[in-house]
Amino acid sequence: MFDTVFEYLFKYPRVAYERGEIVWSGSWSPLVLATVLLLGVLLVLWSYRWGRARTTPLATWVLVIARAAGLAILVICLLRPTLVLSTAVPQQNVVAILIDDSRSMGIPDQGDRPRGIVAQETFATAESPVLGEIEDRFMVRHFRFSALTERLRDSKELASEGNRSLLGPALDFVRQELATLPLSGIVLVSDGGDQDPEALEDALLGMRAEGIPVHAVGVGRERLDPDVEIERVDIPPSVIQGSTVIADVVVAHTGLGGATISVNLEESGSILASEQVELSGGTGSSTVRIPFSLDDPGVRNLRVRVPTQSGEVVEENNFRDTHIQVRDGREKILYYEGQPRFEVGFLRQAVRADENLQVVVLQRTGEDRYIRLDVDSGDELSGGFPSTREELFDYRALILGSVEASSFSPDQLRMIVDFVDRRGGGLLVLGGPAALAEGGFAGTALAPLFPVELEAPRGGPQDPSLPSEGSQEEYWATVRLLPTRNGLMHPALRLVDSSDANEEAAEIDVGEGASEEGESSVMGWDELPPLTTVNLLGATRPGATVLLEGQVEEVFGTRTGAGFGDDPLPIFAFQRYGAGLSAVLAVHDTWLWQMHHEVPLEDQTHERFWQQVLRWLVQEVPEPLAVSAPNTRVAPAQPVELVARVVSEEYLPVNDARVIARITDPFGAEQELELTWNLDRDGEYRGSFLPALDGPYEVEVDAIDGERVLVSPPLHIQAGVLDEELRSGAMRGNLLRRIASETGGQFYTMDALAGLPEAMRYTDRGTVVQEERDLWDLPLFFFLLMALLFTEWVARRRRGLV
Amino acid sequence: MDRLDPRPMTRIAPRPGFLFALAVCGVAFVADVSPLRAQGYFGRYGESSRSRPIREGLPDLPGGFTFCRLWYTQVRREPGGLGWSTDYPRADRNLTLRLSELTLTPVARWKDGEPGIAGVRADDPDLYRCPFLFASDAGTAGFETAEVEALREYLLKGGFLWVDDFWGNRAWAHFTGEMARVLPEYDVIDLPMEHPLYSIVYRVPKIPQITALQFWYPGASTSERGAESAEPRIYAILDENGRILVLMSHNTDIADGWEREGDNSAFFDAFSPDAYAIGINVLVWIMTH
Repeated sequence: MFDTVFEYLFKYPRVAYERGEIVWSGSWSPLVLATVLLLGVLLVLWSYRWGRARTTPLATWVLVIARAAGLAILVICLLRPTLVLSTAVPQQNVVAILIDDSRSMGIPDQGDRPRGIVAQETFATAESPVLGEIEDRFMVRHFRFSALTERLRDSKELASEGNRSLLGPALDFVRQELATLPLSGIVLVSDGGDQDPEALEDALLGMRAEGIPVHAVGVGRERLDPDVEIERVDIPPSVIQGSTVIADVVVAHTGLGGATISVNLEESGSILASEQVELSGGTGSSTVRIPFSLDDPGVRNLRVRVPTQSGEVVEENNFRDTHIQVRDGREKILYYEGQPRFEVGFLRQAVRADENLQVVVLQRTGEDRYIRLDVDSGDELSGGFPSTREELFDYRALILGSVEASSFSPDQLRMIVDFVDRRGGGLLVLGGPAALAEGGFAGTALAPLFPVELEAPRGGPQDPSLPSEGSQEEYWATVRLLPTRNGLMHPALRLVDSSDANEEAAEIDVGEGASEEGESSVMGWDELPPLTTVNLLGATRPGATVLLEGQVEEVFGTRTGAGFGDDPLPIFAFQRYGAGLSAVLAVHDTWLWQMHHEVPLEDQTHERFWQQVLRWLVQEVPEPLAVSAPNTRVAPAQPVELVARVVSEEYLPVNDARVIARITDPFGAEQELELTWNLDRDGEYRGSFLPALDGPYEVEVDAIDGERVLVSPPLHIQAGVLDEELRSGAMRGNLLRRIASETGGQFYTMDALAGLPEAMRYTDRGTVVQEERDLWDLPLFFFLLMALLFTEWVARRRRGLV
Repeated sequence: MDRLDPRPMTRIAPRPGFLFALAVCGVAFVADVSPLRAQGYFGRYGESSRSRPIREGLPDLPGGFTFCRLWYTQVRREPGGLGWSTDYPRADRNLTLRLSELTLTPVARWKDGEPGIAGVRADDPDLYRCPFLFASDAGTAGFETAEVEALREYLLKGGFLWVDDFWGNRAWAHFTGEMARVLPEYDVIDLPMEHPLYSIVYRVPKIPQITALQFWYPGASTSERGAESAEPRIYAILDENGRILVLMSHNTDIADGWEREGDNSAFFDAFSPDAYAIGINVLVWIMTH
């Protein structure tokens, strides 16, 4: 409508003004015309003087301005404004029509018709009026593109079957293909589902450099309503068998606000876990966390799916595939306990049945006297706590019990920091009379590791202002531990399998926990007996997460200075630190969750708690050779990037290793690829290969560092048709608008293509001529003059001047 | 089975420093407990059976190990036995103190500073706060049905019972009969000397036969029932995972080695070091297993 009115008033379409230049072509001197205009205005002013008695000042000014504006328009017309345009010479230039032939063009959202069919009829059939208009002026070359781009010989070749849409390479292909011809522009017919943004940016640079306008025609609806999509699934790349894993799923939707839908995690069609999510707003996304566990080791292919909703046009984006490596083997954890106490025996008993955990205990019984339990050899820990990094870094997690800071040498404290920061190990500090601040850790190298501030204890024997009777052991509190919101969904605290059941287990006054949810072996959090803490913790550090809070039930003993208040205490908290994580569990009698008279004999809370906590602690500990691929699911002809990180026994980056990837294709054929050191990052090696076949590829990487040979666990790559093409079914109008805008083209939709052929005429590229078009006879000037005269006439008549 | 440190463990007896420490502590103890002596609490030198523990409940400051004694009902008599309170409370107190001195173990305490020893009935909920439970003169104990059930649950949950000072066949038969009610599915085994419990802290080369002080004089037999109790043995009931649920020191009175440490220096020299070695080994074992 706007364009139609514009063209009526200004004689030519808007694009002509955008592309052209306005110049003054009149033979009259502008100085003379300015003088005439000035004299005219003065004459008007003088002529209205005699009638002042019958008019007001305001009316006089209206009359003067109307007459002067009319004179100005006449002067402009006498200057003869002209629009100078560069237009393509008919049939001397080429236009490329580039049609998207990917699977997303099969979405039937053009009425009930697929996008591809409508695009084909409009731009690739002889009967099309739009194509006819274009062909009247240009020589047309047709192309189709998906993952690859090729000439379109016959419109029937368009089948909407391509697995990827690569806009950038397609534009580059056309530019290069027609480089020797006078290319006036490109018509890009697509839904904008590009999957290689980097290549698109490069292609647009080329287009801008050569001045090739791209006219983008968006096919499809910009908003598919209703639609639900699994937008993202995040799970760890590998997991210990039997561990609870949380899948973070982002569900995006359009037009389904308020609906509650099930999100299922499936393997081979069987549902492993399911969660309900309530979709909010008219359009938006919601996050749902699905806990699940897998028992059998190996690569497990998983699918997250939501059921098809009524009225959905695109069903292919209702699921997303992923995979996870379930690893077997024992994760070695060192538990250093400075004081004999029951926590040691009960913790060992709790994880005894877990074949994936090996808790090596170093129990100090006296000065320089130790008991070693579950060691692998007679030499292991024979000198007490490890004194070298190699020895300490052999473990994947470290538990520090009630052991005072002064029992470590300064270097051992720094080693522990490196263990977390550099090696990426998990550190868990338990509460106790010789732990945390009470153990003198405040101000040590270890203090920054803790997720809570340590406050120097007052009232203890270290405080010279207080009598020695004020022992730390005599000040303690019983606390009932309850999970925070973060804790409820945290894998370390998954006492039950269903998140709903876990939340119920956390509800106070429910009084039934999970026992009626079929999880008879686990108590609810509020039913568990209170535990004891002697450790006063300070504020939680920024970035730390509190998983369990302690509601203080009783405080015993006296203390000078700060004490246990009424606010919940952070009891179990963690923070990421460098490559690893550090956690504090500030109680020292979790064994009560096993022994207490209110805990049933068959209850598994204590066992489950410790197994989950320790598994979480070692879950993401890196290997000395870590191999990853940014894309583990690739489409045909999409290269696989491999990234390997090699560190020494002390976990320092190694830059001179020889790193070889052994790639096994779906038929078992093996090839080798040497990864080269990435100069930008220490210890990082990169390489890529192109899967020639569809199916699973397995990549194992060997790193040779001197005499050390490291072998990575296998990395699995799935090559083949991806569901990415239909991932976001809606037409991406903004991307297409940007392509057009950045290249000097125009954006059109399929139902507003009328201006396209005309717009394509105005181009600087190809064989062009300069056209001059008069503007003095614009209908706009006529209407303005008429309006001014009418205004003046009405004003004079009202004052009786006519 | 745990793999233990293969380094030779220090034997407790030959260490003069240890003997000196014990002697000093023993003297200090005798001096310290004189108020108790004045109250007539002591021993088989004029010792009498008690109807109830000297303190109710559990220690006020439970920040460490609590020595819990099983306060059972005596259903028969053994010569020289005083039922549940045999060797109580000095044995309990002395072992708890020595545990805190000879190891780094923190011990629970009462408000007056006394070490944390307590007496609990088998059906008392406090029992479940005591993963370590000790019974003396066990051959005279009889359990009600509720106590049997409570003891069973306690032991299967992770509790540990050490019974001591029961001599001869009749006491053995009676106590094992009671335990058969508690843990009918488990057998009683002879705990071999190769078991790591005997060397976890101190190396114990053989099981000492410790007799009651009034029964003993240097050079005489230590068997309180003659040939029938000539050989001291330690038996155990293990669960299917090898965890010790019940430890039975038969034909010996290990607790007397703790109780009498300050009463007679010759008795101390003869028995107390071995008694403490076993006692501390057992306590450290159950705290780490």
